[in-house]
Amino acid sequence: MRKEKVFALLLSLIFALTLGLTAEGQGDASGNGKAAPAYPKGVLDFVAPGGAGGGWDLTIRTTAKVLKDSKLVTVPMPVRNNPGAGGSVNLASLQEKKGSDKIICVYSPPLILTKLAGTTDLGYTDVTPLARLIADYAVFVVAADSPYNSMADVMDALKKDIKSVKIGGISSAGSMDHIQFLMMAKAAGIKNLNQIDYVSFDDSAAAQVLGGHIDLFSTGLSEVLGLIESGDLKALGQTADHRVGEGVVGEIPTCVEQGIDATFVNWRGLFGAPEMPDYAVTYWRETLAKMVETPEWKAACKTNGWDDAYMDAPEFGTFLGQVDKEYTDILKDIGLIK
Amino acid sequence: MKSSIVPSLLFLLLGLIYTTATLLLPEASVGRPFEPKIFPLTLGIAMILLSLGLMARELKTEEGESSSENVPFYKEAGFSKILLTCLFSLVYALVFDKLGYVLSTMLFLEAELLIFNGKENWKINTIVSLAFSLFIYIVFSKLLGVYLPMTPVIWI
Amino acid sequence: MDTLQFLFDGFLVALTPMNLMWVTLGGFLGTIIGMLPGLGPATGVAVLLPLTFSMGPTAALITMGGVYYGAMFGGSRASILINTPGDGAAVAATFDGYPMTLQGRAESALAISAIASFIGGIFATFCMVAIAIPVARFALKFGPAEYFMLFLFALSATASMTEGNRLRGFLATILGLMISTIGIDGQSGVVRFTFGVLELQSGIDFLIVIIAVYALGEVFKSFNNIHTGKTNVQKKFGKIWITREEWRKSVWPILRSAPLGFFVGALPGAGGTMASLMSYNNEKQLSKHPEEFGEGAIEGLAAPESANNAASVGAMIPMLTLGIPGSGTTAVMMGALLLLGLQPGPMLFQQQPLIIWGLIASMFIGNIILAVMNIPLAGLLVRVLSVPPKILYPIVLGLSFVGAYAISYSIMDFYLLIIFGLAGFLMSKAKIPSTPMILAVIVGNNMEQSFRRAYKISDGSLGIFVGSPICIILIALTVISIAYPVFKGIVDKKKKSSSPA
Repeated sequence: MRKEKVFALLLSLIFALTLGLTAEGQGDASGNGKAAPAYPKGVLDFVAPGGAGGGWDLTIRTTAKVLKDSKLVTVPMPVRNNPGAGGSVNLASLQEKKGSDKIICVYSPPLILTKLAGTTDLGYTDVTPLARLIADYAVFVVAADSPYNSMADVMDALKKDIKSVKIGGISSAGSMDHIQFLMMAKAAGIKNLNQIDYVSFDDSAAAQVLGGHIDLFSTGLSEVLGLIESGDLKALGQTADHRVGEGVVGEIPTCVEQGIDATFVNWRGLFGAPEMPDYAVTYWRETLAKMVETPEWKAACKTNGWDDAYMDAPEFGTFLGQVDKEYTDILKDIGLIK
Repeated sequence: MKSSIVPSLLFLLLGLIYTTATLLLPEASVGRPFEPKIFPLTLGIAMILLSLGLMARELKTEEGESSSENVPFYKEAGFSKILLTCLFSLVYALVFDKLGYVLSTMLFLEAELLIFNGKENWKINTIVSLAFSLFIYIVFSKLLGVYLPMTPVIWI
Repeated sequence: MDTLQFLFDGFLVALTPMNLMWVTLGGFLGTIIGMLPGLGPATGVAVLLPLTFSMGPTAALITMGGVYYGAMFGGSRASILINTPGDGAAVAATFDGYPMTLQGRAESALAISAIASFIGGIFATFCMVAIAIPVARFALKFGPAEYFMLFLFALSATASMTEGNRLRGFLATILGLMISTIGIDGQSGVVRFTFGVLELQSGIDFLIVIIAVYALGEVFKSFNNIHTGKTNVQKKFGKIWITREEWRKSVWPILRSAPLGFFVGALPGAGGTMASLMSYNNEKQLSKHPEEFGEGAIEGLAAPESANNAASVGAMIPMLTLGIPGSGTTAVMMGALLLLGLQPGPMLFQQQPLIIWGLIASMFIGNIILAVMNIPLAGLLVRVLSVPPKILYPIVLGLSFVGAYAISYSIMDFYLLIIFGLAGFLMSKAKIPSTPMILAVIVGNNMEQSFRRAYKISDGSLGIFVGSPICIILIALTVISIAYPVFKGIVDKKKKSSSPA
């Protein structure tokens, strides 16, 4: 009886290990293939570093759909979700797939913020930027019966008593919803930024501001569009450098118009694995440049309320360096980075 | 020492470790510095108190009333099989990504069926493990589009 | 009546052959997905996303709705038959459903589960027609302090109802809460108890703990049973139906649980798991035979089944009336609506009444179709029990691992599964109940975060926790839930001592 068990164990171990080794060999061989006459070949691997239904998921699924519908890419592009730690889990798993030409994933400011917050050692330099595609902007909303009618009202109240306005957002402290408000507060001349109360809600902050539990909700425009249109929420300002959208949304003033000289862009772009082969990078730069010109893409941007913010890989790389510095400064101000 | 207080001792230990770990947490830079510690600290202290309470109760009850009539779990006949299952699961986890879903699952099930069903039934075992891993792969990966790692060489 | 006119128009939309086909298809797919461990309604709807691109918004919404409550119907199948809950909302179905199976009453269990789900779903849909908007407005009154009190009530009620030793119940609760503190603290960004493991930063998914404790725990227990020959293979199967007596026992629990589930479902962030566990606690407390709960009491299965289906309907309220996702599933549905060019929110009812009322009407139809479909389906599924345990248990293991993987595609979850499986086994040996721990893992993070939010909003004053009538009612309920079993114990003891044995 005991012998049998030991035998079975050994057998399975040996089997597993040998196969594991050969499999690794296989992976290497296909990854380092130098000549690449026909690309893309086989099945591509599109990754959303967050859960289904989120912003990243929506972006990459839309991209895959447009590429397919416009026949720019004819090989299958299944979308995979690899959520965890604000995208850092996917970032870590990308490091094991260095040189892969199959993986395309989407990222946005958290790519930089998670590293700054100390969540991970990996950042935007550990992926290969392909193109910036779209931009979303932050919006600051209050309940319809709120005493605040402009960003200036909020900032004045904060200057008088830093604890008087409770800011709510969806993401955790030190990430996007928090940072975008602080950037505005900093530009408005508020000094003790780390004293501002930021309350993180997992998913229900719109209900909280409607119910009067928090004073201001810092979020993305598309999250609260319906409630702004219906008049349940009052939008005090958005963070683009120009008016966006039409109708009620087009009436939301920018922060710059209100004398707060700051903008915040929630950019989203596509990235490949680190050390992505040149032929693949070239292919995607060309393909994505074509994609953003298609009517399908333009229509998708319109329905989702995205601003077309296309930027080719080299400029995108420079841009990433700039925002990295901006975010670093603000996080230093609130003491999240020492 | 009575064996029935072992669980309460373990909980006491866990409570102490957890409380210490809580006190060692970094201070928050936004908001009040001690805030992230309030809730864990309450939990740690509550666990210490409750485990002491449980210990006192176990000591009070008569030996005969407690679970002493049972054989300790690690001497039960099935325990070695539990450990073996855990070991197989560990190997499964280690090779899952490399071998892909179908192959690694087949091997894992084959090994588990060996424990449960015996090696004399190897034919049934092989059929079951092959059928299960292929069926699940097709349902999850092909029909539902839920990603599962592909097995190299045969690419499914 | 405007509402009736709208509802009538909605039925005209929902009854078109195409839409009937979609709701049937969605419901069927949902049932299957719900049965698979780790795959719940959220995954089900996400899977459908690419498909919905090519449908109109009405058809897409109807199909996704079908998947959602189909998954609620299907979720408890595996709970009842093999003690492996497919998702959080199906946990409560293991408490009495699996004991019923062990007693050879799987047919009744499957039947009452379908019947209770049906009644819960239909009842909640009626509520939705009648009071969607007032309910949505009332739910807004729940701020962080109210949520904290709600979670506290649910936990204390579960822990204090633990049979035998209440100390052990509370210990299990604390343990579960400790598990839930692992990960990034949302309010401060501080990383807690992750031991440097990246995957732990987003916390431990409660589904992993559920699968580990229930499914792996069951497999581990089976080793001893197989050894001692204490295994049962069911050879004969009866009709999937219930007796008059069983119906009499279940009918009130079902009717009581439906409104509870509907309301808890409508609270953003509370959801089906809370609804089903609260209704279970509730029935156990109301029952004249609480000791039968957990031993195969049919009302202990009927109540949570009714509640979780009602909750799935309730969860659509914040989405449809306010454009706020009330659960993971509705978040995915909202994503899909955006992809289809619809803006969920208060205006949707006015701008696109046909779509919304079509969806509501399809809920009535869908629940009927699902009930009809699930009874024969259960007749097939119950035959799983004729598989000998020595083959069934390895398959349960296989399902547990693939289910765990499907949650976040991470091998880390395999290790967690093993650790919690062993821990669950040791706990059962030490007679520490697992239910309070599971509930604590599920609500723990939300509970702490609610506390911290309230604390921050009130500038560090604890007064906020007694600051509203809702809070005070919840505190009163919490006190009663702890005091009542103690009080009852004393009374019972007195009775025993006064009446000669």
